[in-house]
Amino acid sequence: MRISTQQFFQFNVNSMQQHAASVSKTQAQLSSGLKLLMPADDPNGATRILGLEQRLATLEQYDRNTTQLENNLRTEEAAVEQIHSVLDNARERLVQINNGPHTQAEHKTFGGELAQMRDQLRSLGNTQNANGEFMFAGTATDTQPFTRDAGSGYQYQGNQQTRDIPVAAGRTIAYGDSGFDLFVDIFTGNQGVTASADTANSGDGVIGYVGETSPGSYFGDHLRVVFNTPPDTYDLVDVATVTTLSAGVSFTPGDTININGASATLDGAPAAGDKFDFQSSQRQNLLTTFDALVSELQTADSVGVTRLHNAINRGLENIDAALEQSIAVRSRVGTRLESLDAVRDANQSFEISYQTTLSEIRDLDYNEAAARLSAEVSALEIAQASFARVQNLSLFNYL
Amino acid sequence: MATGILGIGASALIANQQALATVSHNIANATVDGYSRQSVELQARLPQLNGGNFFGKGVDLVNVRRHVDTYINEQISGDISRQGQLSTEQAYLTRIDNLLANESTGLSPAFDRFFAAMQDMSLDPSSLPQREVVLQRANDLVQRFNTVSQSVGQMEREINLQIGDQVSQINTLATNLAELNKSIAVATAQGAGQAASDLLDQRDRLHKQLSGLVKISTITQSDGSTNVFMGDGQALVVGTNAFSLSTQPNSLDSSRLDITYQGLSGLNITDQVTGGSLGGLLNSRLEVIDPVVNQLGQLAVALEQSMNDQHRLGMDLNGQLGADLFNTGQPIVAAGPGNTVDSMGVTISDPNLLTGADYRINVDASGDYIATNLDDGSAWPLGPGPTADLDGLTFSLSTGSAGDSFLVQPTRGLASSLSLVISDPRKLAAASPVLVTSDFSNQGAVKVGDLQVTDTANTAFTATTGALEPPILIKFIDANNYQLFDNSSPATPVSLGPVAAYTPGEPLPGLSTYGYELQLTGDAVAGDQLTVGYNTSGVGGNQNMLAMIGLQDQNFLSSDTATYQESYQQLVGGIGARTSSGAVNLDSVGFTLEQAQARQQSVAGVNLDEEAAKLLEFQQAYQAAAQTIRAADKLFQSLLEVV
Repeated sequence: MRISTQQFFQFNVNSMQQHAASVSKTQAQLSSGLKLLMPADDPNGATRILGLEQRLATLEQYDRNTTQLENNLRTEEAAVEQIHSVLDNARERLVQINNGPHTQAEHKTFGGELAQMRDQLRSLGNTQNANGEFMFAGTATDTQPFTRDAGSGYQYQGNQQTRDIPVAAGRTIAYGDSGFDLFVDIFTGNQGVTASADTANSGDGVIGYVGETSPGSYFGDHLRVVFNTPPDTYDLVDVATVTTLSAGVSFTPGDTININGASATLDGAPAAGDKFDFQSSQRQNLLTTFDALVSELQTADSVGVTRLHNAINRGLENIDAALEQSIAVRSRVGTRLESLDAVRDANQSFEISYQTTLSEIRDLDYNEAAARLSAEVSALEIAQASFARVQNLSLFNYL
Repeated sequence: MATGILGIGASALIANQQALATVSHNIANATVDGYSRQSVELQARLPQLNGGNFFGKGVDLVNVRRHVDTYINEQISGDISRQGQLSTEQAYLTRIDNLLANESTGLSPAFDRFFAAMQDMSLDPSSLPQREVVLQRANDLVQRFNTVSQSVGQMEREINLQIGDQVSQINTLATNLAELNKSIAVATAQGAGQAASDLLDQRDRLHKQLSGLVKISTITQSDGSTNVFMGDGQALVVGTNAFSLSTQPNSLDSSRLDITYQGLSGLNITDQVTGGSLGGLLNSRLEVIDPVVNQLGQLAVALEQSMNDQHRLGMDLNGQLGADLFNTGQPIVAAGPGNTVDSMGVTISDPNLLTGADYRINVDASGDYIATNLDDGSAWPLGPGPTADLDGLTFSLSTGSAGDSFLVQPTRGLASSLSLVISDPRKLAAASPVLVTSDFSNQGAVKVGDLQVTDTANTAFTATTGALEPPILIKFIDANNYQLFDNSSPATPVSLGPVAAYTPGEPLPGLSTYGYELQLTGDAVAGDQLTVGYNTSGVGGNQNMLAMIGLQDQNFLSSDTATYQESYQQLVGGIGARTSSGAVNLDSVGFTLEQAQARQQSVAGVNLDEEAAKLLEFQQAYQAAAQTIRAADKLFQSLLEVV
């Protein structure tokens, strides 16, 4: 084929330009460390990169969430532990007081101690976290959860909602527990049935803890033990329907009273006409319990030790329930912390996998690029050298 | 005899002199672009009969032949057109690709950061600094939409400028071609059918330049002039007349230029202009830039509507229901010239069903409205009205006259008009406006399983701000049955319906009329109660914020198949694929062009070695011819000496 002079030069120029362009591109890749200099270099890859970066951003976010959540849970854990220890102390004191005898002055001192514990519990319930939010107010985080009203006593001002935090795809973990769970969702008695002595009783009857009953077996019933004259028998009355269920049941102090599957030991000598009530358990705010105990202790002597013992028995039942509840809350927090660890591990392994894929698409394989660069540079050099050798071949040189 | 030899010698001298002139012309023009080499054709003169024998009479130069392959030239023109078109399109594709996929200009990182800020806020919803960050990131996202869309709009303006430039270049070339046609016709007439080679070369060069701008086809007339037609057959040069092009604003969208002939402003030939860089500009506008802007607008309106819908279901720090978070504009509607009705109401009712196409609405002879999808040309009658729904749009049809037309661009301006409405961080609605409380005295364990607010435009929320009307009391008659009460006066609740069966985990049917769905779980006991009221103090809640975060993974686009970022990735991926295949095509046409040029050069190009050899050949022939004259002269001298 005929090659014109112009074509000859053009061909060489084109060839050198192509080699130079390859060299330049490889150089740019090496200096930036990226295989993908422009999105159009690998359009599928560029799109996948957007998707991967989105997922990595989400995982990073979950990491941050997990850390903050963990901080809050640890704060909560510490508060609940403290509550538990206050309750333990209170229990010890109350058992001590119950085992008596003590003087009025001592009772007053105990009253003061319990008042302090009550205030401590209240301030623990009003704990604020690092952000200034009330931790145990549910989602009403600007509102102090435990307040005292002269008329109605201790009230829970928060709500029962919780805040959920996303920690992994499709997975949320609760941020905390509400004060309702902690102090208010506690039942009296054995959490099924509660037994109490009427405050107008004149005798010495002290009714002890209610034994185990199956939950739900007592709902709605209000049954009363009324002592006859002489007080060695009692009648069992259904208060709601005003019917006597059994009459003249004989009694000796220390007997266990059995009603509808609920049983409690009655110590001491009841007087004629003394009443003891068996009802289904109600919720009672722990602080209210403490309050009641404090006022009983302050007035103990003037109304007799019997009433105090009855009150302490009731109080201890409630405190035991509270202790159980604090353990339950604490173990919930512990479970959440464990889940966080597992979630964090899982998120991390996802992160590694995404990072690897991202790197495969985007980052340069230095070895391959360096080899490519040296091949392209020698190709360019060869093109230039061969051009130099043939460019001055012309017949005119010989004429 | 002597005159015979002299004459023959002289003819040889002249012929070889002319041949040498041609060779030196070739050498002189060896590097001129588009020059076709010329070679001489020598022919022996007719012999003369003398004494029974034919004696030759010398040589004549009968033709200076121009070496050209017109077929290859046409191919080259076609390749130059394609290359012009592809390289123009590629330039715009690359710019848009970089704009969309780049870290610092693309939308995807802005989405990521916006949702990250909302996640941070969900951990601490009442923190004002955290809320400020969310607003800042939302604003960043909005700005990105605006900037990307404005940059693309900038390209449109550039295209208009370039169209103007290229149209004047075409006009200049056309005028020059017409002039050349005149000269060539004159020269051909003078040369008795022989063409003036260099003029022809010049014309070929102009043709090539012109094909770089627009695809042309040429027809050569018998007088040597060439008619040039553009694109699909629009005349540009006919004989010695050049038809000038000009530009005018489009009748329905005055921001873009159409192509027409000077003096014929009613004739829009834009669609007939194809190929070359002008065709590339028009294609880029229609097939790359418009769809990108439309799709960005679609994404903007999907974001706006879905975020606003969810935000309105929440409660802000002031205890108020959430207001709109984002705002975009409305579809652009332009009335045709000569319309009797100058506007038409169009709103976007469902971004999920949008196709990204523009529409032309025509009123036909019987007063019916027909919508034409400008992407695929499909026509859809819009029915009698008063409104019609099509592809996620709602048209309000008023009485128009036959011949009225409208251009509807549903999402064209929405990405640049996207804005953030909320500036007060307290107004971000993160909490749920509904609070359910189990009564303190409940014996059972029934509590909230799930609470979803579905409609805060319901009168339950709107009758009184900051309260639910009515507040609800759910009372359990026994473990398996409950009744709903209006709890406006807690002392005397009013029954709202019959006793219903309690199914844990199922939404309570009686409550969905109030705009929320409530599921209860757990065992109930007779006498248990729950109250449902406004969540006035629950400002630390994050339920609505979680729902807004969840929007990132929900499908709002492409008929429920794509999330915001997936839709964006599809857009980027589409542009990327076109850019990449455009690069391949550009390479391939470049290669084909090189090959064609090589073939043309092998026919028409000057090879200096060849010319050098020819130079020697004709030089020797000239010297030999000079010698024959000397020999003739010697003969004459000898004769003279004898006498």
